[in-house]
Amino acid sequence: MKRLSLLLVICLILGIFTGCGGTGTENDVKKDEDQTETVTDAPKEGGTLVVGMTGDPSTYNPDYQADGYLQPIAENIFNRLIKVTNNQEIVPDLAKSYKVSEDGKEITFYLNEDVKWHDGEPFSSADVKFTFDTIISQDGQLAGSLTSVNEITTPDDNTVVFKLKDNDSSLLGYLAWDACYIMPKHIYENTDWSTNPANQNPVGTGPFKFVSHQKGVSVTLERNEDYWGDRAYLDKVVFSIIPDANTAVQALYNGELDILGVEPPLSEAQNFESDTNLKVGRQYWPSRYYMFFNIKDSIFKDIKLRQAVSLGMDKDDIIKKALKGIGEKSNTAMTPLYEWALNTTDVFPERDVEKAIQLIESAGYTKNSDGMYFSATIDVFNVEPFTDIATILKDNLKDIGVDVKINMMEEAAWDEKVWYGRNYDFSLLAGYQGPDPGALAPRFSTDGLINLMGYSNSKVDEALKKGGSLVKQEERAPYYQEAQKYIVEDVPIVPISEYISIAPYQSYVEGHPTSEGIIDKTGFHEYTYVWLNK
Amino acid sequence: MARYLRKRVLTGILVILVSLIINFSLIHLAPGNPINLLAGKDNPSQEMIDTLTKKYGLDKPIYVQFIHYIKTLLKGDLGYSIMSNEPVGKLILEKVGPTLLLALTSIILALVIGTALGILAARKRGSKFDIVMNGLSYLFDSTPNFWLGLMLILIFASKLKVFPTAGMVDLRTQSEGIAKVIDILWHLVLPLTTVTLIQIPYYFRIARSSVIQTMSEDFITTFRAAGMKENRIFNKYVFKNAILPTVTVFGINLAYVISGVAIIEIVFAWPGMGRLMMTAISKRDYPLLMGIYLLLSVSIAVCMIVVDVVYAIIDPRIRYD
Repeated sequence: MKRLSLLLVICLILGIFTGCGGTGTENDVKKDEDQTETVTDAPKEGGTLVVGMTGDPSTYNPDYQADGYLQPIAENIFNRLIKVTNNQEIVPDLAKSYKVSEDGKEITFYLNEDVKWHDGEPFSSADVKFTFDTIISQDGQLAGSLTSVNEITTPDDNTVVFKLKDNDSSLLGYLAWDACYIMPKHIYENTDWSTNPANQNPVGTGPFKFVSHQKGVSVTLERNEDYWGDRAYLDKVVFSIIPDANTAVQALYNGELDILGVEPPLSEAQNFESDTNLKVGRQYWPSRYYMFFNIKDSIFKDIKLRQAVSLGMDKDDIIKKALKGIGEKSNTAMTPLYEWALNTTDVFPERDVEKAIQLIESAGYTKNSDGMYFSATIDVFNVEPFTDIATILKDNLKDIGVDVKINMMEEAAWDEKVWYGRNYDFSLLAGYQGPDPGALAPRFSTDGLINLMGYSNSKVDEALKKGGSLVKQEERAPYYQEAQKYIVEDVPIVPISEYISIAPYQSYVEGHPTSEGIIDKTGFHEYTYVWLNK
Repeated sequence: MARYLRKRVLTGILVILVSLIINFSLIHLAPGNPINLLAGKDNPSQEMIDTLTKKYGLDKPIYVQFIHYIKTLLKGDLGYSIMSNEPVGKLILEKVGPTLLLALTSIILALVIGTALGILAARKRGSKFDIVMNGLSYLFDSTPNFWLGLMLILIFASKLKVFPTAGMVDLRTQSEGIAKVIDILWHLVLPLTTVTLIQIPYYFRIARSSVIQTMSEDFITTFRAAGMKENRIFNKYVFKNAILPTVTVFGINLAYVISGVAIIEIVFAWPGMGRLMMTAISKRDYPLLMGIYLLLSVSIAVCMIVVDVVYAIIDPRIRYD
């Protein structure tokens, strides 16, 4: 035992030095041998794909309540009318095509024929109508984005018509996004959709069927042999539940996972690149890390202070140190992904410490004995990289004489204080800002649902409303660009970096959702085209 | 004895009730609530939030909620999880097995190994073995368990590829029968080693110090003076006296370990109750959290009573009349 203990101590100490350095040479050599070209062009059918996931879905009704753990599974079990790809384009799903009327008040979806539910029942337009009627009447997750829908009609089994109160050009984007998967009417009709047993044993129309969920262990799906679209190659997809991202990364190195599936710790990202056993997918999202101010009720009511903080922030420093280089500096008021509506003229300025100090002084602040003009508290939830961003930010703002106090809290507590309570000075956030420039509205219009800043500018409201009411991109673009101009002027937020996901997977995995040829076909977690080249 | 037991059971119930009140107040007073999380952030209408708040009875004053909870509890109903809508009892039962497997095996191993090492060290007090073991006991006592777990993963899973990194079964093979048992044991090795290594120091130090203390008692000196052999003195007189404190530690530790393995369960993706508890905390799933706390307080109360009874059996000097 004595020897064993000593050995263990030595191993542990060695482990600290060797373990942290990424993969060893010995493994690399072995990897190269393993990779003796077994590459074939034709996809092979069969096999089980194991994908990591950090927690259990609590329900399999994706339209009823928000559940981040369900999202990757839902993409494989269910279909939507249309879906958004990894290229952020909208492509057909259950609807083989759609037509928007001239005045934009009517959208007609033409559905695929011969679609069957996993239980063998035929799918029809009635299911679509039932799904959206239920989302609206039961206050489903998406209900708030469907307010423009007046009526849904089904002229025949394969046609669905959305009749709108007003033209709503953002609607298509929402229908292609999350929380509007088409649910089976024959199972949910006349039941409580929050407690229906199918919420634990889902029936969809997707490329994979639900098999089982072993709580805390795994969720297993199998190929839907009667799939109406392109049949999947894999026999099974197993989502392995590994709550700790560090462990998941090790499980990937150890070959227990085929696709990491979870957001890796940013510090690991460089190691993936140098590991020849792995391929690394990069996904550029219409999402960004940004700082936002409480404009209504904090020291940042004063625009000069907001401008000063914006000038004092060193985004390059934050990306390098907090995001470990996985990012891209954001200076525009909107995600650059929707290029057609992007305003590249009116952008947030580069760092300028002197100018920032001038602004603070012109706002009437003088330095105290510690050399600080004023102090403010940044509320952040204790999730990486937000805590690191806050730390670097504190350091950046010290240069312009702003004393930043970091208040780190649990997410639920942050929600209560910042999201619902609006009781804060400034804070940090990231989040999906798509699937259309219309996503500016909930963030920046006066009554926007995610306008946590209490920001209100009637010109912005007007421009966003106009942008949302027109149909053609060239007509909409000027209004969104105008709104961006005012946002840059008013500084309710300061964008920091674009959000880039790192998706490592084993080199024998082909057809990954981020790979060429597939990226414009599926969403981030759909495994229809994945096959195992081994 | 029976009278004593009755008294102990009654105090036990009182302890459970008090802990229920404290836990209930604490989790309801903590910032954040399950409805916000349930409604999602994108577009929760006030109507939806109100309906959900009412559905789970969270609109009532906290004491009314507590009385309601106790009433349903007395009917044997632990309520429904807010997040998954499933019965709390069912959710906990699903997870108790893996946690007990990990916690019980590790605590028994730690008890046996730690006590044996402690006794050996005490008998060879001042020797190299004693010094090294003492040093190691402090080292492992001060090592954060999640760090130790991650190190074991790095060495034995990622580098040496001897043991699996995470989970309880191999998801690719999904074996059955005996093969499944072996698979589970194989997955158990690293988390078990972590929890055991962290606990050994407790038993080691208790056993060592109580042996040293007993060996310096007057009656032992008398035995020695009478020429009794060292081994005989130890086996007959020291051992029994020295393991008594270990029993107390075992009882307390058992309950502690059941809740304390949570972090290890997360590091190794071991599907136990600890993880359920962590999720319940982060999602503010009040009924689930109360169910888990109830189980913990009951197990602590039961363990303490069992320890008292075992004491009486081992030590004839103790009688509860």
